[in-house]
Amino acid sequence: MSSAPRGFDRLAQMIAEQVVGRVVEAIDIDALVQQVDIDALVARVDVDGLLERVDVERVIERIDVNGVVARVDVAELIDAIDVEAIVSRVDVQAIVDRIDVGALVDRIDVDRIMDRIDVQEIANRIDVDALVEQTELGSIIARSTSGVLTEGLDLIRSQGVGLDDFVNRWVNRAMRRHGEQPVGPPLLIPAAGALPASTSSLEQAKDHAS
Amino acid sequence: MRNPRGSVSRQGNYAGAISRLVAFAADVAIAWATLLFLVGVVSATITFLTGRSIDFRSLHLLAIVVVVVWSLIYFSYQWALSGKTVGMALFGLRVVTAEGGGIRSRQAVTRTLALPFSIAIAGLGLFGIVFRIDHRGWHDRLAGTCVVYDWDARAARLRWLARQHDLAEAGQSRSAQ
Repeated sequence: MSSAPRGFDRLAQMIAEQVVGRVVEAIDIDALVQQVDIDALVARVDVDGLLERVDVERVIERIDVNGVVARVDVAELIDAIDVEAIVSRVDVQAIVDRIDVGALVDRIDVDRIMDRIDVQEIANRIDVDALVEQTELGSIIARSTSGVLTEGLDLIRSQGVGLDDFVNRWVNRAMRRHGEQPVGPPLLIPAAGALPASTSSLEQAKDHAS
Repeated sequence: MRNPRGSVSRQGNYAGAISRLVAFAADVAIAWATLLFLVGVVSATITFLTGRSIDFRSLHLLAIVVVVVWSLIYFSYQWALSGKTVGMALFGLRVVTAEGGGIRSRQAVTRTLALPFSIAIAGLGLFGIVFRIDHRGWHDRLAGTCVVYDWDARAARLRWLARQHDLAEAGQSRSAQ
């Protein structure tokens, strides 16, 4: 009883395989695909429901971020970015217009900035001689301060200072004074104002006198 | 182009012997001239009032007293008032305390009284002005004072440069014409 159905099943299986093989060979897959309305098919898919079923955290955990980053050629990526084009699209004027410059200035502690500025150092870097020689400032000074008496006094005093320096230089040599010497009383000349004993300002005084 | 640090202001530096000597000589001349003028005025007034002329040359003791008192007044009053006499002002000098502050009347008087002693003993008291670093003589040390330059050499240099600038401009305008 049982051997008859088994033989029948085997026969049916062989026939089905042959038939299916022939049918598959006969089907034009390209024509079939063209007949499929993919948009309608996609529209029927519940993407939201599908995404809700996805465990994103788990997916992310499985991603080897370092491996991905290591494979990225950053230099090539940067080269590919057209920075000029990006900058040209930025409306800088609109950004500047949105900045409240007044509020910004109010937040600046000018006193603190001024405290950090070494005004003396700036003044020392100014070439006052060149400024007076090459600008109208010289004429202004000349007209406001020059006079026969002033010129005469400058000349007399310069000669006196020159002779003083001449004598001082020889005295310092005779007394073998070396190193820095105080040039004036402490209240008038800070310690930093000390000059070497051999230093002479005779040349400067000659400049004045000439 | 000259370095601006090259022209150092001498204001506040210890004044040297030559400037001080010349200023003192100027002061002596001014004091004598003023004294002679005052004596002349007094003599003329007495002659005008009494009709008799007085010959001060015969009054040696009085003359010495007048000279001493006048010198004391001349120097101490001016030093106490501004730290400088007329002669010192001409040469840009000023008397200050050893620390650099303004001197008191007492120091001015002490300095004036001590000055003759510095000069008297063969000028020994003045050697310090030449040989000491702070250029202080006996009278300075007794009064606790020193002498400094009171004029700004840098300002003088700027005035000189300004004059050169003006002269150069004048020369250029002449050549353009």
